[in-house]
Amino acid sequence: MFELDVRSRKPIYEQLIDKVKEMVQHGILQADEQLPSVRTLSSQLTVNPNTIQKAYRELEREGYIYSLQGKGSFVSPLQQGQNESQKAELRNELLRLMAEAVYLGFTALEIGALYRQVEEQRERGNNSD
Amino acid sequence: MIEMRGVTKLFQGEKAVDSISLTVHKGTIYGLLGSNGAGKTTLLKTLAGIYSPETGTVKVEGEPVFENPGMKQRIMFMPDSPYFFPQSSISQMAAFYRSIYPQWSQSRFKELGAVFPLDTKRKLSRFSKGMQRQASFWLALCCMPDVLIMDEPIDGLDPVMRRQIKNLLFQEVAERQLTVIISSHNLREIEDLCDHVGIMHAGKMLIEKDLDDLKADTHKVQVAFRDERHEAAISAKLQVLHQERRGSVNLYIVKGESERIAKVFEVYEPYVFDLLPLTLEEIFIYEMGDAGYDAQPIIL
Repeated sequence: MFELDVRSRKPIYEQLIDKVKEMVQHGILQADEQLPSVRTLSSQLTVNPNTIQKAYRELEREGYIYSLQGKGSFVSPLQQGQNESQKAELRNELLRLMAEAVYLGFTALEIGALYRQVEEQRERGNNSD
Repeated sequence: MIEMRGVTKLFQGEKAVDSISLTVHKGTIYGLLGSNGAGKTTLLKTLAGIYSPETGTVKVEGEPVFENPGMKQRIMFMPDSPYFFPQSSISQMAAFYRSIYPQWSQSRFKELGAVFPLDTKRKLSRFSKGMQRQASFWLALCCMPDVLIMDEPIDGLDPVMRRQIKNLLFQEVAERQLTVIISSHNLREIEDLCDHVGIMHAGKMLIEKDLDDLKADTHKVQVAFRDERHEAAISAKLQVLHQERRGSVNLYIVKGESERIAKVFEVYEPYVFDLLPLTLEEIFIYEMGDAGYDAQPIIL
């Protein structure tokens, strides 16, 4: 379920943390769903079990997952705080893209149109569910 | 836990290992790196209780290792070139190890037969280098040691076998908290395998750290400033290990957290700003450079 880029400069445990966060935020991992055990994930990915343990510990510290003694790790229900930090991250990303768009001559109107386009797509998606 | 305190080992008056202290916690995979002749093998052999150090102590779980058969039954040392008795086959070597290591597991020996495609009746001397290496892994894993010390074990193994062996080691670490100490020059392999690393040069330990912390602590920055004067300000604010100029782009190796570094640079609104974590190979080369050992720009 996880794919890691072993050639990336980004440390494996950071990649793992980001993957799990992403999957939680996109709803691929549901609240209270069990994560694969350290042992299973270690042999699936051929990654040092200590590295996985460390990533799980960090995710637990940040409140994304919780662990039950002897049972394993589970996904925490999504909290407000996580949403905020995600928003802050996205804001920076948007600013960078916006700067590029402005440089290329996009107008506020055109950017607004893009926003509406995404909104419409999302509504259509919700209706078809 | 393995503890080494102030260990010095002399060979004909020459310090091969010079007052090294090191701690390896249970269940870690520790990678020992170093320049040629840094004393890695000497250090490993001292850890395994093969050499007696001139000064200092080596203890595994609080007990000394040297000439302590009880402790040695729980330690496996794999030398850099596999050694087998002359004319012996895998099953003969297995019988020998079974008589030495009380934790030897015969069921595991059978299980691993599926992993290693080797004829147990054939003479080991007729095997290729890589196959001999496989055989020593097979035998070592069946001894069920608590500490596995390996000197350059990856050489000669094909990529499939490397992955296989990595997986087996990880299982042992996850299931029974096996402690692994491994030396290698293949930094890519070490990077994937280990969680702690120690870097040696000329008998001394330069750094010893959690691998992820080590990587999170040093960064490579590529930057093109709007104004050359900004350059001077950077070295005052950050701990710069290395600096290089390539055309209008400056390359920095900076110690510290990525967020703090980014903040310092972004104040100057540079044209180009790239912050990358270092690879283990880069960390190795810059640390060696710091210790006065680097590649000389000689053109022949």
